[in-house]
Amino acid sequence: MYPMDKYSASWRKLWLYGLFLLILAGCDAQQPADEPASSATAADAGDAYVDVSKAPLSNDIFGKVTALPETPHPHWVWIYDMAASSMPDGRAYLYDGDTGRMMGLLSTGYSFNALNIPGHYREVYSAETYYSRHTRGARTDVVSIYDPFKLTPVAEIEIPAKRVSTLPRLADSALTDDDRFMAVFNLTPAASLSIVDVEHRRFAGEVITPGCAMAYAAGDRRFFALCSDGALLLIHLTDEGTQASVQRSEPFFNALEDPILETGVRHGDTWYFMSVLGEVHPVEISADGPVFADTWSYLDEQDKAENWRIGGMQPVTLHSARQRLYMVMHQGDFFTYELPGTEIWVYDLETRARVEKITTRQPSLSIAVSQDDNPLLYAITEDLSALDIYDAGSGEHLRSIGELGVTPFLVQPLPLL
Amino acid sequence: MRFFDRWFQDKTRSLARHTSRRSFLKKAGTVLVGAGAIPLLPVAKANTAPDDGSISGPEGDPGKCEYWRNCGMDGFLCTCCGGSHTSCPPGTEMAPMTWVGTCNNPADGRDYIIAYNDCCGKSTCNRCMCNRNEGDLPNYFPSKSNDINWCMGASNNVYHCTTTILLGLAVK
Repeated sequence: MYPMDKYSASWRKLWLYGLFLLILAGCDAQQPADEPASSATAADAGDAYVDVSKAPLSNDIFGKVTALPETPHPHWVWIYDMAASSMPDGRAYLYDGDTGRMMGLLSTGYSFNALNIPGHYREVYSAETYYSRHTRGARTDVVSIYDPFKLTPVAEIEIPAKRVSTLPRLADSALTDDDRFMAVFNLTPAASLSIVDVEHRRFAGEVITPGCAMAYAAGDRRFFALCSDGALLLIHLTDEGTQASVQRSEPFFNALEDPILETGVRHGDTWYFMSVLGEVHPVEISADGPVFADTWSYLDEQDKAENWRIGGMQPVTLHSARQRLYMVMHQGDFFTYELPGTEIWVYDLETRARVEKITTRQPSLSIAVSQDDNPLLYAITEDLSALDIYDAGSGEHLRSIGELGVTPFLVQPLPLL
Repeated sequence: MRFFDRWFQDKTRSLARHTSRRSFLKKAGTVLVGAGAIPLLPVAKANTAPDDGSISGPEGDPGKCEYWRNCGMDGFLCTCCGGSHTSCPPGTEMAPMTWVGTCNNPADGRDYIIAYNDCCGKSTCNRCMCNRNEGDLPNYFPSKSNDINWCMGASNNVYHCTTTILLGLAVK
């Protein structure tokens, strides 16, 4: 009894339903033409009021997609979100720091870390991991290349499926100064860097970095990594992106007694790393290799007595032209160096003097400063719900952006173009 | 409450209890372990596991961040995810490599080596987030970093939750 009768009944119902929809659509299509005639008496008849003196709205065009203006501004800012509550769903949000408006988003796969932004900004790069069945199946790691105005992928380069998965760090990948090669940190737990030629869209090779981690830019054909014994590993590349040579320095910090934080800032050829106990380690990557200048303390005796300490996920940033160094500070003990801070201390990099203390609107976890002449200081709040935006000169709070993301840990303004 | 509110609350509570760097250097030597490396640890066999039932309050509750074995924890407690503090939830895989901490058991006052083996292969459990940075070092020191996803050692590196496997008595 079942098959044919039920089948026919279903089709009858579908046909009637389709007819009903067509009638509805017909009524709807006629409505604009009918409105002027009927509306003259609409109010009298007790129907909704229609202003016949105004022309009806024109129909929207279906299918439009916004493209960003190809006039990037230094107050555009990327927010990197690993979506820790659902890690296969990483994303990068783009906001306008002047208006607080969200401009768009990139979907960036499992255990997303951060974008790498070249100086030309014609494209942006993202080291990503995907599984063929969302959380299972074959793993594929790639460097995705995105159009930063359409926010669409334009190319991808497959890399060895072993990029590191961590709570996000800007230094998990880096670009050479000429923006041609990208290094992606691998940990299996054997440490290495995948080198990608983003200009020619190819994987160039792998450099083994035993005992050393992450990647920091150090010229057109150089990266360096930080090592667990306190040394620095400088990697020289050939023009093909393969390993030319490596230089391992003597230890310049003590990882057990006074570790430096992974978030370094760069001014010219010199990187600055902050230690937990209050030392600034300047590291110049000269033509001959790393040069370690004398350290200096960013804490005075009173600061130390009061247990002031740097802390956060991205707790330091530098305005390069003004040579202003910003650090998120809180009061706590040795192992609090990932905690957010209630103040941002500002230093003159040249004189090493502290020039200002900014009391933050809310405790801050990650900070970054735009590099223009009217710089904005961005601070992700401790509950990861908002981006507080300050005038980087006066410290005045200007605005906040709420509903920032899922778990947005890192912030990166556009470079000066 | 957003989970990262809890995350930072847990951090703060932990720090209120544990503030001495000196005690870390003395007690919380943490090392990278794989199954083959375990014999190299400063570990002695315990005849019986300490009795958590005799510990009052959250330090005796595997579902709480304050649980004594969680001193080096950074992740979601598998107890809250369908597993237990020593077993992975159904359908996941235990990563063979991890970092370890040295935690003091309030039931007997002894220090024990605890391995924080991650369970892998399903999306984040997202329950009972617990982050206690006792002994944590930056990521250039992987064997002492709890910000690294240790599912790297499993057949699939999708992180789900973390267990606390007792390896034995810490040898001083």
